Amino acid sequence: MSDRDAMALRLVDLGFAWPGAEPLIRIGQFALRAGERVFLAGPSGSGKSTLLGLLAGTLKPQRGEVHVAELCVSSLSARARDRARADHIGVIFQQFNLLPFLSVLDNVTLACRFSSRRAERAAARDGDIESSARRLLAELGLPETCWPRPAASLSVGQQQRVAAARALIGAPELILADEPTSALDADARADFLRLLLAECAAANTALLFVSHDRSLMDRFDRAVDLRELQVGGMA
Amino acid sequence: MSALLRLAWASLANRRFTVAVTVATIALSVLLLLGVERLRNEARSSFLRTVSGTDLIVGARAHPVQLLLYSVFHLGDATNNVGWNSVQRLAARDDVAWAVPISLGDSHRGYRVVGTTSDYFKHLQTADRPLNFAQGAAFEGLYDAVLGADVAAKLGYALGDSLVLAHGTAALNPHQHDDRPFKVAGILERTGTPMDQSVFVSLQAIQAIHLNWRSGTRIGNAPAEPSDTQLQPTSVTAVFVGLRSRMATFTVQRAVNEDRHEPMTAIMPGVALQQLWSMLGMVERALQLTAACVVLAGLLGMLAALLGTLSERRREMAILRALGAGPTTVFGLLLMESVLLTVWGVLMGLLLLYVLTAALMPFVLQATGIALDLGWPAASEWHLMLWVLLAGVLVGAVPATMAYRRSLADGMMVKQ
Repeated sequence: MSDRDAMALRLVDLGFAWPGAEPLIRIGQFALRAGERVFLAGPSGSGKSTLLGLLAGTLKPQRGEVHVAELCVSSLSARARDRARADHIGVIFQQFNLLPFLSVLDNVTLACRFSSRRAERAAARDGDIESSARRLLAELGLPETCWPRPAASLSVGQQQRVAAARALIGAPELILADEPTSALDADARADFLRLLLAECAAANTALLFVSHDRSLMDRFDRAVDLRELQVGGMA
Repeated sequence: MSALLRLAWASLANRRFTVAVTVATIALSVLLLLGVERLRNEARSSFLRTVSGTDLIVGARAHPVQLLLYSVFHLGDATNNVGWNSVQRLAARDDVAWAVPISLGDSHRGYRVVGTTSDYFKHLQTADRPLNFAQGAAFEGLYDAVLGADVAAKLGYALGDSLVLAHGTAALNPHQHDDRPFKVAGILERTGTPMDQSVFVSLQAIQAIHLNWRSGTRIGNAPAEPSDTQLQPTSVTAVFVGLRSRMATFTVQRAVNEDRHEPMTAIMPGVALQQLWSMLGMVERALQLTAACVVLAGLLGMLAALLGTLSERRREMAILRALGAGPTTVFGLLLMESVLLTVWGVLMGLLLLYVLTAALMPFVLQATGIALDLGWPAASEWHLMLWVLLAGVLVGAVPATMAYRRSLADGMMVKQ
C-alpha cells in the first residue's frame, strides 16, 4: 500500500487564540504518518482541548493549516469540516463516550450513520456494519452478552472499549484519544491500551493519544510534549 | 433523516415518564380543542337538520331569531298570533305548495303541546327525511294526540294511553285541561330535534279544550259535542310554509312582510339560523380561545420538559458532534423530538375524542337530541390539528436553537 508515505495528520504553521486572549496554539510543524501511534503529553491548561478541537475541525485556526488524510480541513466550511470529521476521524473521550439509552451495538454503529464512507469501509471489511461492530467488540474483549444491553449498564472500563470500537469502525485515518485511560484502574488501563494499539495497527489507523500519564509513553511509536511543539514556548 | 428519527425515538424512550406526561398534557388539550370544534359543528348541523324542508316560517311581527326560536325550538313564547285569515290567504297563493299552521301555548308535564294539522306529518322534514311513525298514525279523532319519541319514552306512554294537557307552559302547572283527556294515537320516530319533545294535537282540539276558558281560568266543563264553528281556530302562533319553487322565496317573503292586513314576519330558517350563530359567535369564539390557550399551555409544558433536560443532555450533543454531526443536526434532533411529541399528543387527543364520543353518544342523544357522528375528522378539525402541529414545531424550535448555539460553542468538549 502506498499508505506508507501518506500522512494521517499534518499541521503547518498552526496558530489559534481565543478571542481577547494570548495565542494558545502556535505549532510550526507536526505530522502523523498513516498508522503511526503517537503519545502527546501536556499538562492541563497547555491547550490540549483546544488543539483537539482544531484537529477535529470544531474550531477553525486563525493561521496555518490542518491536513487530515491529505485533506486540508482548516480551509473547509464548518459543514464540510463536520463531514471530514465523520469520515476520517474517530474520537475517544476521557469518559461518558456513549449515548446511555442506545445499546452497545447501536453505539458502535452510530459512527457509520454519520458517514457513508465509513459505513462502506466497514461493510467492505466485514460484510455489513453490524458484523464489523461485532468483530471489533469481540476483539476488544467485550462479552457478547452485553452487546444488546444499554450502554449505561456497562462498567467504565467496558464503556471505554465500546468507545474504542466506535472510533475504529470503518477504519478512519486518525483516532484522537483524549486521556481515554484516566478513568480506568491500572489493570484495565494496561488492557485497554494494549487492545487499542493492536487494533490501530491492524486497521492502519494513526492514533494521537493525549495524556499526562507518562508511564504509558514507551508503548507508543513516538512521544511528544505539547510544550515542545509550541513555537516560542519551550523551544 | 431516519438515523435522526431513530435517535430521537430512542432518546424519548429513555425518558418515557416525562414523555408520557407531556404527551398526555398535549392529548388532553387537543381533546378539548377538537371537542369544542366538534360540538360547535354538531350543534350547527343539528339545528340545520331541524328546519330542513321548510322554505319560510311566518309569524306575527318579531325579530327573525325570536320567531325561529319559539316556532322551531320551542324556546320562549310568541308575543302575538297570526290571524286565521292571513293563514288562509297565504295558503291560497299559487307559489305556496303547502302551509302548516302551528299553535303553541299548552304543555304536558313540561313538554310543549303543538296544535297543528295532520299535514304537519306529511310536509315537515328533519335532516331531509320525512317524519315517520314508530307506532300508530296521525290524529283522526278530536281528542287524539301524537307523541314525540322522547315524550313517549320518558313518560312511558303506549298507543291508546290517555293524557291530560296543561294550560300554559310551566312544568308544574295547576291549570289542567283534565275535563278533556287525550288518547295517544301515534308515536313518532326519533328525529334528534325538538319534535321529539313535543305532543302534537289538532288545531281543533286546542280550540275545543279552551272553549270554556276565560282569562286563564276554566269555567265549567268543555262542551261534549262542540260545533264546527266553535272549533274553527281564529289565530295560530306560526305557519311553516313550503314553496313550489325556491325561486319564489323572496317574493313570498316580501309579500308577507309587507302584508297590509296584518303585521307579520316571514323568515328563511337558514338565514335566521345564521343570524343566531352570529349572535352566539362571541360565546363560540370565547370557547375556542379557551381551548386554544389550553393547547398553548400543553405545548409550554412540553417546552419546560425539553428545556429541563437540555443541560444534562449537553454531553449527548458533544458525543454527536464528535461523531461528525453538525450543529444543524443537533438542532434537527431536538426539533424532531418536539415534532414526535406533538404528533403523538395530537393522535392521542384524536383517539380520546373518538373513544369519548363513542362512549357518550347515547347520553348526548338522550339529553340534547344531538346525534354525534363517528366519521372522519372534518376539514376544520384537520386544520386545527395542523395548527397545533405548527405551534409544536415553533415551540420546539426554542430548545433546538438553544442546543444549536451550545453545541456550536462546546464543539466536542463540554466544559463543566
